[in-house]
Amino acid sequence: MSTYDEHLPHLVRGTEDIYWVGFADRKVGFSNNPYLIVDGDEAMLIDPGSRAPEHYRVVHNKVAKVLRGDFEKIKYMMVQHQDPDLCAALPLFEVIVNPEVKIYAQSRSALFLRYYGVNSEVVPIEDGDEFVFASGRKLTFITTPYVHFAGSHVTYDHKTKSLFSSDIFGGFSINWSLYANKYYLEAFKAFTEPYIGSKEALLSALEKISAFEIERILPQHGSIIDEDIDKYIEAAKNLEVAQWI
Amino acid sequence: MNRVEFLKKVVERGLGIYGIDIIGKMLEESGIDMDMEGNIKFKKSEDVAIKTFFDKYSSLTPVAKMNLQMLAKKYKFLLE
Repeated sequence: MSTYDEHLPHLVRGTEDIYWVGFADRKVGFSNNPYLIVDGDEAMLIDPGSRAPEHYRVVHNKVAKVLRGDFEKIKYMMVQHQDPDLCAALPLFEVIVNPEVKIYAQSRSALFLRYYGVNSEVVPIEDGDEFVFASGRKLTFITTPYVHFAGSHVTYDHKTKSLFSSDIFGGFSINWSLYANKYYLEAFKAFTEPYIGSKEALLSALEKISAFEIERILPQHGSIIDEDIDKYIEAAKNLEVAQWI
Repeated sequence: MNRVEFLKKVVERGLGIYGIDIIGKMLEESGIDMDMEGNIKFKKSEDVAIKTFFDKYSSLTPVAKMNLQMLAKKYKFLLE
């Protein structure tokens, strides 16, 4: 079992350069999990999150700790869909990170980022597009339309075989832990079943994801899954979604 | 699905949302004894115990309330 202090940034176990820089709102049972990839002199902030001062301050301070205050290392930010719990902090970060920062988002989400007051260059991405760091490290973007938004995507890091899964495999849990515990399967269902509107869309997303060898799933909410990954994928296939119709 | 079977589904989901300590306390305060195999004994009337449990379950957080409502739709259970 990996030990961690949730009040500090955490190097994701099994990786050398992916940091969890999020926080858990235990009152609501909703954790937010921005991640920071530090690749040599470059960094990418993924789904930076909320702009509420009590949330932003935590993420900001964790990022500062990892980068030892050198925010200009962040040359890239990426949001995996347009919701405020991922994107609202973009305008706060864009003024302190590298002035040439580029923000990556799926094309159907990209157009909404201006509505948060984002001024940086937004790079729209399509299914299968790749991003390559200066080191040659490659990320592949996989669009997951309607899971849960038309402009959703997930991201595969080839170096660490990590899937940044956005809302897929997220969870609601007051009893939150950074790594999935034995109750996480139900926490995952508690989050996923109410928010996904189409089984067809979910199965399509899972099919696309299955083309990649995955060692860990890094969701935007809930817990990191790095054991029994197949169990979660199977469970996802059997979810009964769109119950509110 | 009868109400005891539905209660088990809600408890199972609640273990993910609340964890075993909080769910255990809610069951106890509602007058429900449930062992690890899901066997249930009621210390008061079944009606009152289950209603008390559902009230406690949904009052602590909107997330749990949403899930209770969703499970009721899924299993076609009429919440009072």
